Amino acid sequence: MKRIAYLAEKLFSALLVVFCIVTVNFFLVRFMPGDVVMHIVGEDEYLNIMSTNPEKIEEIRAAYGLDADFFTQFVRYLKKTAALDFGSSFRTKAPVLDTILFRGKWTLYLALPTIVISGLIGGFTGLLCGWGEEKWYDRLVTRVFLLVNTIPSNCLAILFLIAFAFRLKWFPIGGITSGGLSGWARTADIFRHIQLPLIVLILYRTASNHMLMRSTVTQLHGEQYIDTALSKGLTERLVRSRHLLKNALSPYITSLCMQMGGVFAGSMMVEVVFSWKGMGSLIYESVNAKDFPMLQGCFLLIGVCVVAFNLLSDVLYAVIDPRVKDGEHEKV
Amino acid sequence: MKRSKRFLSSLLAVVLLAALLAGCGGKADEPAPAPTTAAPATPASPASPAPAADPAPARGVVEELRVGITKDIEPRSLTSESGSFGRMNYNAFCAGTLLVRDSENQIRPNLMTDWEIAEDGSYIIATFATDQGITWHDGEPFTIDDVIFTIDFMNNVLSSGYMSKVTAVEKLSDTQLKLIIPDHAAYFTLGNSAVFVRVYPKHIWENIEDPKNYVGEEATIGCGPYKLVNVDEEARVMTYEAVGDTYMGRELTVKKVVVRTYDSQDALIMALINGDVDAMNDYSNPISATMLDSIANVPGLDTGKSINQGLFEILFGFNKQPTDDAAFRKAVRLALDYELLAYTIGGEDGQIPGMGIISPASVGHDPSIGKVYRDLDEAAAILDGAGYVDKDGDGYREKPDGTPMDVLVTPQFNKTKAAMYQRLAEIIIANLDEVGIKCTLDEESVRNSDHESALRKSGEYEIVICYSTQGVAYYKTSYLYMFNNPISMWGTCTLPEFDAAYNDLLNALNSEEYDKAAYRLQAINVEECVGIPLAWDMAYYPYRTDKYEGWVNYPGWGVINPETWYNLHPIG
Repeated sequence: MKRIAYLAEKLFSALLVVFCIVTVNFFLVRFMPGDVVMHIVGEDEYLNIMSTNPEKIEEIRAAYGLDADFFTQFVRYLKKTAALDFGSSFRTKAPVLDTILFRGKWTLYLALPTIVISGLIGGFTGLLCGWGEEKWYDRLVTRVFLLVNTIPSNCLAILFLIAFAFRLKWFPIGGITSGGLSGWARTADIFRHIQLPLIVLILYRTASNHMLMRSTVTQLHGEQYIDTALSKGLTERLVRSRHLLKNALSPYITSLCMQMGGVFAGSMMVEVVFSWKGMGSLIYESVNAKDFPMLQGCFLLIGVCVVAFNLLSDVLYAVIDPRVKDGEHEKV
Repeated sequence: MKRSKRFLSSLLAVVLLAALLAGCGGKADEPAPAPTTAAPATPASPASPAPAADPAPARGVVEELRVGITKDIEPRSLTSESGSFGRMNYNAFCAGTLLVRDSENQIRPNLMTDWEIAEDGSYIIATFATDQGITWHDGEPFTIDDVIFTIDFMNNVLSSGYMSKVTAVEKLSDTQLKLIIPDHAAYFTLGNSAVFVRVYPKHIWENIEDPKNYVGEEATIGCGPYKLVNVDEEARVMTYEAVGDTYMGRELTVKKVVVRTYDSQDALIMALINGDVDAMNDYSNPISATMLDSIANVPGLDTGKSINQGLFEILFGFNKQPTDDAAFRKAVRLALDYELLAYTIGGEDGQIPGMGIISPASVGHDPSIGKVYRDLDEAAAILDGAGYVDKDGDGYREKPDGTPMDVLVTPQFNKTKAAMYQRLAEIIIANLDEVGIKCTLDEESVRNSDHESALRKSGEYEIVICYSTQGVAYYKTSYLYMFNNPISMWGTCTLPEFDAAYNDLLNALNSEEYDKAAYRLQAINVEECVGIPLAWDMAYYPYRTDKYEGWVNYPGWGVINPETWYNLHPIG
């Protein structure tokens, strides 16, 4: 019962945050300098209309319902958002939702394996190195990951692109596929294209996951309950898996959930470098082109994702943390 | 604990499954956006375009030409000039253009096969290739009604400026129209519209409610020599096929063109070096001279060097002091280090430009005009003579009325060339400092397009560094940016003789009159220093030479041009 109350509270907070994001999205365009119509039709088109047919500006204003009062506009906007109607892009003229779905799919193909694989590898190496602090493998692995962690992701991506795609020609230079293929040949070609950006992202994420897990495990290693378990004659392996991992997992899951929340924007620079047409490069292009409808759609999706995965991490806490189960979370 | 383990394992399994399926999710190629009816071409009329090459001997055809571009695959519509589709159409490609330009930058016929301009320039009698069996890519015939519709559509629906001088159209026959141009700008209309104006199929566009935003499949139906047959959104590749063996009587030696979009020129150059593409097409955006080293000695790759018509230049604000003063402007011209500027802009190939601004690659260039040069003593003497002297002893000159002088140097906002603009501004500020002119860099314009845009619209600037694009240099010349008229982005020049000369250029009736007006503008610039060119540089549009021959490198444009489709052959 206490757990249900805990989850209900978290769900309510999440919905409230989503509503705030939607509201901010509404005011974002309206409070920008200049006429709102300019942000809707694009600056060039606005100036063109102003010089040729100024009365059309008012027609557009009416067509978008911008001649109504703020409250009416807001209600209409909420209805449209609920129907996932974000209009069309200034830049490509394509419907925003279609573009986001198309690009989002390709980001997920890149991001989900990254999060899973780097989560597993980073967790494993972090646990191992944290337990065997200052042993030779800890020194080696941690230093390598520390180095990787300090290089900006776009630099790492460019270095890999130049070395492995351009110089060694082991991988294609960029893009999702070469084109002109279908069926399994196309799938194989996509796999060939995804490898290098995936390697960079996995390496990058593994490095940060490793550092997090290692520092948590190092901290917990000296705890009394670990010494007690060891003194009871349990093997190191059992202590690690039964006692240590359980406690080290909470912050780690939070971190993974945060990564999942930022899944759509988290790989932006790598996408840009490898010409991977996902959400990250879509946001990058939209910012450059001041494509406000597209940006509004993207921000909303990212915001909702962050909130959703925060909620998920709260749910997972409730599942794995007995203190939440017993209603002790408020004290935590 | 067991339950939580089960939950986590299930979650991970779902995620892994999704990841594994990712590779299988790629959709198959999209169906062709248009029916594949080929346009049967009839023998060319005597007036049909045959600008450069004779019908090719049996030298083989290019089965697939791969072109790299940095424009996105969207939007795909005849109404759009942005994007890969729009930019490729500058090469008389999928869209049928009225006119084209040749490698000498001269206007050549295309769908408009012949024309006659009235003596006073008030009308054009134009003949169109509506009797040559050309069809739209959906199989409908190309007719004179499509041309009439196009002019009306551009002027009244698209609000395009290209044909805006044409106020009425009279149909003389099924192949001829009389285009009425009351302000006598017939020659300008042709020059301004060459390359850019494409014909719209009436049967499609007359039924579209919102043409500017329409991107349906029919939006790509043109009547050019190639039709769009496939769009691969994931690969960002568009495939075009020749409509037949010939087009307007000329053999199409390239059967298929695959246009691939790259995110950046860096990626495109790597693809060129690796042989993934055969040539690049990037209108008015040649690769930077700093990238030259990476392509200079690559076997099978030509740098595609040609003189650039586009150029960096300085504009002076005539609404502000001291830039409204010819003496001050001339002193600025004498104070600049052109060798450094040319090297900064064009590397080893950068050239010190002429005082007339117009590049030797452009029509209307006056070769008799000398080059700009640096003479700090002369600059100082002019400033002294005009009353710009250091009255308070701080090392900087004051205005003639004794008020402090701090000239704002505004670089045009441009994300991709921001570093170059900033460097040029720094050089100019340092150069002017040497003759006691205090300048300040307008940093807000470097990072904020809105600020620069507001300044441009108000005309309240002092020194602006801008780039005159290839398209402008083609016909309107770099002087467009100084012309005080709504058609100019920046113009504030109030000199009546400049205004008259530029109007004469716009209203020239033929190439002789055009040249005469262009020469006058250059002479005025020598005397009044309305603007200063910073360098003439080279344009590099690299292409591969190991597979095909017959490339024609248009200056400042590259080897992908309206002639490519008729000239290219496999080597051997």
